[in-house]
Amino acid sequence: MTMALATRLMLVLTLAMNGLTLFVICHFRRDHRLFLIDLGRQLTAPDHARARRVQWVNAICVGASIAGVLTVRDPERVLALVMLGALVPMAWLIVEAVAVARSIEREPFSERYVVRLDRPLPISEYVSAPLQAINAASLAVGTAVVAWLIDRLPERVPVHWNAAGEPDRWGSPSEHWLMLPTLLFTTGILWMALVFIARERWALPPEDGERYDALQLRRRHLLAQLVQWTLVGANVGMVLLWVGTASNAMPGWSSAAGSAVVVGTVVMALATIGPLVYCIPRLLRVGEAIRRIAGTEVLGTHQDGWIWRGLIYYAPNDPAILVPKRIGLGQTLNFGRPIVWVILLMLAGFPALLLLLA
Amino acid sequence: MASTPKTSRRGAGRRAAPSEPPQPGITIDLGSSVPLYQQIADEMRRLVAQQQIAAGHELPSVRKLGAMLGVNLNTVAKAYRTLAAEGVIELRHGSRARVRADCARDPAPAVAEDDEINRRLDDLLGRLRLQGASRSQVEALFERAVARFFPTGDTP
Repeated sequence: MTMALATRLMLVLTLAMNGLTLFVICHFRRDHRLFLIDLGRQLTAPDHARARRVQWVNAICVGASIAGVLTVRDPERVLALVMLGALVPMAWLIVEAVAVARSIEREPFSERYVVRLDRPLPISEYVSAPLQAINAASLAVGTAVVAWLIDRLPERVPVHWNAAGEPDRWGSPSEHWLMLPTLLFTTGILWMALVFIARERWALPPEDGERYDALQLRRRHLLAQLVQWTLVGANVGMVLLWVGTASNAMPGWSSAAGSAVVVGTVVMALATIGPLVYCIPRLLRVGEAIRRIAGTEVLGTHQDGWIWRGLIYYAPNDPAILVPKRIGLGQTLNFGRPIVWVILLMLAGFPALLLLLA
Repeated sequence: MASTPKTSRRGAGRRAAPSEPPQPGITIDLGSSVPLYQQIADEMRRLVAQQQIAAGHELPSVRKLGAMLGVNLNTVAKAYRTLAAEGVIELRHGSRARVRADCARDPAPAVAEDDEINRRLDDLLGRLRLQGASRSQVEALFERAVARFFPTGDTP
């Protein structure tokens, strides 16, 4: 498979994956939950209309964008089409979600809760050994293969491709090492997320504590599964992309390299959408059961810490860095802790650095 | 995804949960007018008195308990100091706080002379009286509470 064809397929898959993610976010709604946000009230006809509007915009933009990628020749136009197909539905979703967030209804909640002394459970409870082994093995194999390749590549190789899959920048083979920090960064994020899930506050309601405890355990396991499958899948896909792009300049290897790029993209797409489709309905069901016991409140948090209609948690007195979301499914940061801002800067800084280097 | 080992372990944990004895837990009310350090000390004292935490058992570190409860670690440290002053737990530098082995063996006469206990009892009975409780109701209330702490007669 040539690099040009591989690039086209990669762009189509990326668009489809984006579209599917938005579809999942809009599709799973309950009688009080829209865009995964718990509104604290019944959904109304205008709410459903919002979800349908995002679905239509998403379908039209992604469809048109994919058709464009498959037919248009000019690489710059292709890139513009991909950006439009991915960003317009996302922006539309954000606008609709912000409008919905303005209508969230919140009641004051009781700040009485129970904390068991044998909680939280250790992080090993959430780590999937097979997935971590796959992650480590793919990193090791990828590094070994790329190291082997770099010694045998010509002195100048293509290191960057345009949206038509034509090389637009040439450089030394050692530039391929730039991918390694990205893979280590993803692994770092994965472990950070697992630590946060394991250390999340484990507050129980004074009544029905046993059942609530079991539900919280299930919720944490689902979140850990979601994070591990997504990030390990992304890493395996990126390793394939890495090996594919590095081996492209080896004489006679270009078709295998193209195939590796396509397979890598497919793996990344599946790693994004698969765990979402599996975990979100289950997380919603667990969330419903938790809601039936303790309402929409987040036990163990400071009531006055929830600002902006419960969207943001700002509690300088609370030692927690992450707390369960009051309106969503996962966790949110405690913006009252200075370390949170440091973490955010680090998380934003690395991709920004990569963009500058690319 | 459903076939990962984690799933089966989780399933086992969920089934086993109701039959397990209740784990020691601390109740906190962030909205209460009772100071947080006092709530923590009261709850810890209750757990020790009900033998849900055994004598000689190590308590969670100040940092860990603070993170679990959602309160500042100084608040937990103050609660631990209060309990240490009462002789319920012992604090040693470089190691975790632990429940004193002799925490339940103070000589009985000290109980009657303890001003703090008498003050708290008076406060409690005063509140019940003002809330309109009858003598028999208060006696029943105390009997139930005593049974929770002394399940097997007069031995401490």
